[in-house]
Amino acid sequence: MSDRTGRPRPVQGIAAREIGGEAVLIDTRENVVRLLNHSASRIWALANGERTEREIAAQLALEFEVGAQEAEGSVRRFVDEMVAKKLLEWG
Amino acid sequence: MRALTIELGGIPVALHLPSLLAGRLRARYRSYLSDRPAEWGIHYRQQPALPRAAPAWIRHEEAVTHFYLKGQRGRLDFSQREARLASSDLNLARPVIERALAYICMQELPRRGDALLLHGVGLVDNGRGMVFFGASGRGKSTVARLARGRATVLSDENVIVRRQGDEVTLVSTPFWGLSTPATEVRQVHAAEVPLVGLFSLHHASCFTLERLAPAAAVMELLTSEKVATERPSSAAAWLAAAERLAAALPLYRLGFQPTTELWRFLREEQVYP
Repeated sequence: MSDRTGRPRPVQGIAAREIGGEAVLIDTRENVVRLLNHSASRIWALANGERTEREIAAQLALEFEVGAQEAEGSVRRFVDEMVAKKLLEWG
Repeated sequence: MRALTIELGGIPVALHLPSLLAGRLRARYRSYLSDRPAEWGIHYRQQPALPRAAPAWIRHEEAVTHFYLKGQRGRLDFSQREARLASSDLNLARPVIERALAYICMQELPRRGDALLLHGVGLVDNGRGMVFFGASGRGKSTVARLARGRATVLSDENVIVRRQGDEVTLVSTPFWGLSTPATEVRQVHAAEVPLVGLFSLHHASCFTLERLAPAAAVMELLTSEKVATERPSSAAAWLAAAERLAAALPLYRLGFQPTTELWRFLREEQVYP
């Protein structure tokens, strides 16, 4: 379990590609496919193991012109969901 | 043993077969024969001891894929580009060989360029092609039946879609559904024609046509069942090729009913060649 100071990153076995601003994910371990919406796709792209949740949220707030609190909530929910689905892990 | 080389989507494959089988398949694949040096080798042998009723399985180890299905067994080595196949009797030889050929195309085509093997029916009319694709039960055989006498059916099982420069083409394969009459199979030769559109089939209560945005188009292509997703590098290559194809060619979600009204509808929508 993370103390949320780590840097989320995709787990091995995921192929992802951003197409027209939306990320298509193929989980090669489970043969499951997902399509992320624009904001989720942006978080996915930023969650590359180089940024903390807070840093991702700061970037998201800047790009989507939303408040820091709202951005942090969105990032936290997305990361929690992706970690639960074993698509992201804490680095 | 005898060898014959066929070419699928630009991949020359040498088939090493018992003489009797080589003669049969040479006739069936005659318009796909190639004199180019083979890049893949497939070795087939009959193995009567193979069980016919055991559960099917597929297993991937690094660059090697093993499978078993109803008296058919195979080992495909993608590093050596060599496949070893067997079936319990000769009647299952063509199914296991075509299963392996389709798997090779599925894995190799996206890596070599902007090309995909789709589970679909390819039609040609007025020198231009259309592909209707979808998983089993979505209407491919129905579309092929509705097209008879109206358009040439290049294949009712698998086709290749390839981008070369600004043009996207439909490339035929020798793969046909198991229930397709032999008379239909024999009428068709290898062909490559300009493609006007890809149509994802959906049964519906009325005819509908929706042009899809690129990401949605790629998601529809992922339903074609011919997607190399078992290895991350294969899946990444497939996604890249699918994205470039979807950018170069319109892809539609087609709601249809099994009547020849389909052709009138496509003409009215101005998407028929």
